Amino acid sequence: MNALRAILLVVDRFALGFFLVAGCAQLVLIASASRRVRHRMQRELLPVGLDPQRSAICPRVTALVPAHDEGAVIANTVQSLLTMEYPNLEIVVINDGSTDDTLRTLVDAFALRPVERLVATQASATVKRIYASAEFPDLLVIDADNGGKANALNIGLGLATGELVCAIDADTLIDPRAIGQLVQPFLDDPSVIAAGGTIRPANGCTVRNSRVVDDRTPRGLLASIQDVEYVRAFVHGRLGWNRLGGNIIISGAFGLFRATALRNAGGFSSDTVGEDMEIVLRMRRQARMRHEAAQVWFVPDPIAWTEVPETLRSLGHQRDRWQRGLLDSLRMHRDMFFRPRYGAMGMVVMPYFAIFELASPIVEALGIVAITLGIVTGAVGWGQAFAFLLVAYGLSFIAALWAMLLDAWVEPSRVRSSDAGRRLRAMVLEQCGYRQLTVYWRLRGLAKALRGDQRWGTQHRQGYTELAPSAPAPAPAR
Amino acid sequence: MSPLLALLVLSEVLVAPALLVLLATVVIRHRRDQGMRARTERVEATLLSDLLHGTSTAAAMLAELPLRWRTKALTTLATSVGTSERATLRTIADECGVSALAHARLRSRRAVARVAALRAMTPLEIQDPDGVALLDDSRASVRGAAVWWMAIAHHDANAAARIADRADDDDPHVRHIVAEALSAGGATAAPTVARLLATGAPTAQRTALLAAVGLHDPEIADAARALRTDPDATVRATVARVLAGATTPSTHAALTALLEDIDPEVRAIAALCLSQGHRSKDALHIGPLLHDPVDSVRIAASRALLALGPIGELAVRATARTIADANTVHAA
Repeated sequence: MNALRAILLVVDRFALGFFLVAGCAQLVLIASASRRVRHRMQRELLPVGLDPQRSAICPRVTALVPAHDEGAVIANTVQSLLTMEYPNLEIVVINDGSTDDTLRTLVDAFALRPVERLVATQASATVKRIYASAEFPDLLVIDADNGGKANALNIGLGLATGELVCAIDADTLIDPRAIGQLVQPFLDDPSVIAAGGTIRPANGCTVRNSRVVDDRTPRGLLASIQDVEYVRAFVHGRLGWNRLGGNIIISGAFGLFRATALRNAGGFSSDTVGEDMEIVLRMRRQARMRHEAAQVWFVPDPIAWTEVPETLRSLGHQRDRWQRGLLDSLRMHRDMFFRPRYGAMGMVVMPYFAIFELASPIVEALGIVAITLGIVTGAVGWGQAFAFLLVAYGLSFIAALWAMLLDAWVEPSRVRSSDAGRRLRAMVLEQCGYRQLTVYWRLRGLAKALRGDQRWGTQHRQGYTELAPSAPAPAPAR
Repeated sequence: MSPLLALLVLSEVLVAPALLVLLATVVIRHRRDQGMRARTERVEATLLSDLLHGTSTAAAMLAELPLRWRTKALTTLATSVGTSERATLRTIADECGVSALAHARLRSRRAVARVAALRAMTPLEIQDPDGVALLDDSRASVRGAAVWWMAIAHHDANAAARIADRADDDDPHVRHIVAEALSAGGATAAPTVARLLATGAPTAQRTALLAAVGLHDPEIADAARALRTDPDATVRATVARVLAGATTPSTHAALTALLEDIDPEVRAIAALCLSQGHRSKDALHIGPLLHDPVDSVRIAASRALLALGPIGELAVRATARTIADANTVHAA
């Protein structure tokens, strides 16, 4: 009995120390993000600066949109891309062996017809047919056998004519100015190889003519909690790392890459469900090996909206997939850990992700079990249990609150009083029940990854709340 | 209670409410600004109507606005009206205190205030020595704003020459603004761009090249040609863009020379730029790149050839049949 009590006490102390360090690291990253936001606010005073939307020197961008069973949203997504405020944009949709009406929807909506084109084959999946539209010359649709998202992206990469390639999920809606803003770091610095922007849940938004006209916090509890998670993740996880030069994640939902860097790295990897993180690691790694500078930037302004899961089942699938992707990416590049030749990435960023992102569900689960058992057996006092809660959940709450403040500071129009109330409620409820569920899903993801499970899982798409179009749209509404 | 726990409780109890108060302040301020923005837009519309019809109904409305919003109304209008209307706006700005505020802010210690002053200066035209001095400010954001507003206020050769002084700025953002401003200057900026290209200073030359891409000026293209042997690959790639669709024999020769550049990205861009001339004869120059060791160059070459029409397509197909490399093109 004494041995058990001693073990419980050690586990409790370890978990407490772990979350204290993790919480402090999170706050340091948010403090770093605050400096970036301040810098960005000063930059905003530049009236226009280089405006890629109007500039004659804007590089060609190819938007790659892999779509697997996205019939409910694909027409809206393509529609919103066609009306982007960027003058030099090519759109390549890859129908990744959909079993629903994705291809039919596209063919009908954009008057597509089969054409003969040349494809550079870097992907193993077979291209069945290529479609183009006389009405929209910059739109191409590739019908391919199902080979996974990475394969689909690689097929699109083979057809891309842009100097920059933008990977966009089929359920993502994009702000009209977003691509122009995301191009900016590439113009500022030739060593930038990838850039990502802010993603938000689309669930509470109102959409008209495939554009988000009213950006609101989702009403549903599950979606509103994810909204808080997204804000925190993008502020501390991306913007915070920006300043420290340690950005290794470009969201698969909306990220811009230099095409040559992407091709030279061999394209996206099919060996992981976390292809978005893995490709950034690979590109940065190769650049370091060639002794070249390779910057990855997070730009807080560009906004893309994606539909987040509203059922526990879909959310669980998504989270366990993210955890598998993280483990895969770190495992595939494990020889970079603590190697000075890889700079901050090998010495700081990857160990941080391994310890505080990958291992945190294990420590949290152990901590919860140890506290519960400790209280029952009397090994852990109420004070220690309270301390654990304060450290593990209190610091996370403060981090979320700080991130939300930064978000409101950057774009106050996004935070109305009703939305702020909804977010505050979500922030509290996130710590009570939701977070423990994510611990379970992430542990499940780790277990699946160790078994070699590479399935994506399914997510049911509900589509968006579409208002009646204010003007005739070029393509019929869904 | 352990000291650590006490410290945690204290910090969380203090920090959380402080963040909440700040958040509430942002939300409340935004709501207030929304109302004021709507009022300012109404004043802007009335002012515009006054400018077009020679009336003066907006003066009273303008006076009711706080100084910050008065400035905003005048600044917004100043960027969208002609020179004569801008003179009227200058008088209004003098009368309603906006000019005085802008001049005072130009000498502020805070960079943010100086940039804000520059925006407000637009209706006044930037001639104040303090305004011109901002081109040499220590803050990049201030220098960038000064360049931009000078370009907005004056589309003449003098302004272009002043802006060009910042073409070798340390900050890449400022250099891009200079390039954009010169590019937007059109024919009036062309002599300045040509002069920058001939300076021999690599940074200024790169800025001038970026500006030249938007100018589409044959003489400038000739001047850019000299930079095709620059040691910097990004400069050579930009030269290719400036020469895109080359029309004169000398620029065409320069572009075809870039097809053999040591840097793969330059070769790829040169191929795509050469194809913009839509001359089927160029298939002979681009064709060899289908055998390039770098796959991105082969892909670019095939795209370039396809843009040349049937002859280019034939070249691509013939190559696709003879090369068994998985990364080369094949007919889908």
